[in-house]
Amino acid sequence: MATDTTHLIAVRDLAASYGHIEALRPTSLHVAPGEFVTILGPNGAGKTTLLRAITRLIPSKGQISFNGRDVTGLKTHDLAELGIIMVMEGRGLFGEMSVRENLQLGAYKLSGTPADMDRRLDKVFTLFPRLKERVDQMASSMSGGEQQMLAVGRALMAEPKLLILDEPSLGLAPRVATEILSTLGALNKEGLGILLVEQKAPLALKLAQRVYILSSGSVRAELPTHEIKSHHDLARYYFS
Amino acid sequence: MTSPAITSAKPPGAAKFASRFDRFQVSLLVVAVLLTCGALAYGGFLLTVMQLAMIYAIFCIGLNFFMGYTGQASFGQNAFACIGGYGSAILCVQYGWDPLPALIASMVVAGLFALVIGYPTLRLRGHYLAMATFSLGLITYDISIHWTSVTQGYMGYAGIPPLGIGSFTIESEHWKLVALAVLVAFGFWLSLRMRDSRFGRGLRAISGSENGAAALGVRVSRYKLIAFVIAALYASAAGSLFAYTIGFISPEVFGPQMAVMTFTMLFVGGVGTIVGPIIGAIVTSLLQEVVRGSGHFQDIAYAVVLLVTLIYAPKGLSALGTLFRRKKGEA
Repeated sequence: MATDTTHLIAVRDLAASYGHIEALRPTSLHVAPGEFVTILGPNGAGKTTLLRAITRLIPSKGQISFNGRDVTGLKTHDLAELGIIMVMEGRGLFGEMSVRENLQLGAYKLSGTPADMDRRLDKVFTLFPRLKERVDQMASSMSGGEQQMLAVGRALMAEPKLLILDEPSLGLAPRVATEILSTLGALNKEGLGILLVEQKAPLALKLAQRVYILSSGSVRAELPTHEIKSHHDLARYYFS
Repeated sequence: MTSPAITSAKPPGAAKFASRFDRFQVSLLVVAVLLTCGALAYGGFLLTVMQLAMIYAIFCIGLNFFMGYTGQASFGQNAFACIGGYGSAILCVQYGWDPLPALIASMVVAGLFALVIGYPTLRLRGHYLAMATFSLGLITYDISIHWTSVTQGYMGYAGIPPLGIGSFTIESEHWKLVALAVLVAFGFWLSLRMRDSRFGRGLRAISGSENGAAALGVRVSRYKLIAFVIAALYASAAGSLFAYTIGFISPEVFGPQMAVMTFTMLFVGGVGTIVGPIIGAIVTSLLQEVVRGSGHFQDIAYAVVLLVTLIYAPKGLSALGTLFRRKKGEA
């Protein structure tokens, strides 16, 4: 695969199956440095499968380059080390650990002094002050919104270059979902590359610069978000 | 500006202690120490029971590393205790080694064996892993019976010397218990250090979610293998200590019964808890003597204890404090 230096991540012909069921047909996408890209699509479109295939949580075919380097053969933990961090659907928190321990695990691959760890913690607490109030509380005992904040905060502790999120607003009250997605928008403005799968299309489209529309396991459309003027446009792409 | 007390990467001393132990767990440890002192004072059969409890505590501390902290199932750790026990017996009785080097050499062999066996086996998950490890214990048990030229079959090994260094040997039963208690304390401290290290946090992350841990950069396969080896080292040490304490070993000591018993101990004490392995080993060892009168029903008594514990205290005796506090909070 030719090295791709213009994109933060470039995925080419990525495909994944569950047994005989082809959940993701050969799909290509890319995210530029500092870009906010969202993936929309109906249930069962293959959005989660796509993210899991990119992060190698499931076996897949196809090629992936990151920061101009071919990372196709790498494993999930290697990708995390390079700076590709994923917030999984269902948050993937460690419920029997405290907020502090969960956050510390976010910085698992980073070296540094305790002061560096404190600095990272402070940054997360500035973004999500509620986590600071609950720092010694077990993750499982927190509300859904707080858990999602912790999941995002933990990912940020890893100082990612690309943050991948799988439906972070799932099951959250609209106000909390807006708060979390707005924080992602602010992080993107600071230069963080974001690849977001989201069901709450209006909010995702407001934040993202570009959108991929996925249906039946393949990309139906790729376009800048400003080209989507109404729900009718979106529906047309969904069902085209 | 944020308060350092809140944002510090390490919790303050008191908070750190409180995050590890609650009052109930401390009380249980105090009771364990008092029981040990009582056994030393009164001697007799209680002394032997507490010696065995200490040996099983070492075994269970290792098992807790793999089953509790890492969240993996293993029913075959008795295989490594078997290697430790027979390794020490053969090296000391046949080749005249001192007990301590024999114990260390047996641990090395058990660790290497765990590394070789664990590499392919740990690709399995859940009940597949449980079955694979259980068969490992069965195979080792069978070998210890039938490889008579090495193991002496059902005859076993007698005349194994007591633990000691050079010309200094621990002959007194009282001092044997003291030495075992010191070794339990050392094993406990070591496991606590590892649990709270970066490596230990990685293990506990695997227990929470393998995918979640991998997504944060934890090398899941490697860490599971290391935890398996650590558990094997503890089991091997326990096997050797059994040989040195009792002076005799036979295949039955390290048979499937041992897997069932240590599993019971771990769950009664509290799998994944810090003090659970020690408490479980002591309580179950004492219970064993209580139910011994029931003869063949001993296994049923174990099963009943396990069932009752799993139903009413799913996190074991050492987590009862948390359970009581929760009930009180709900009331």
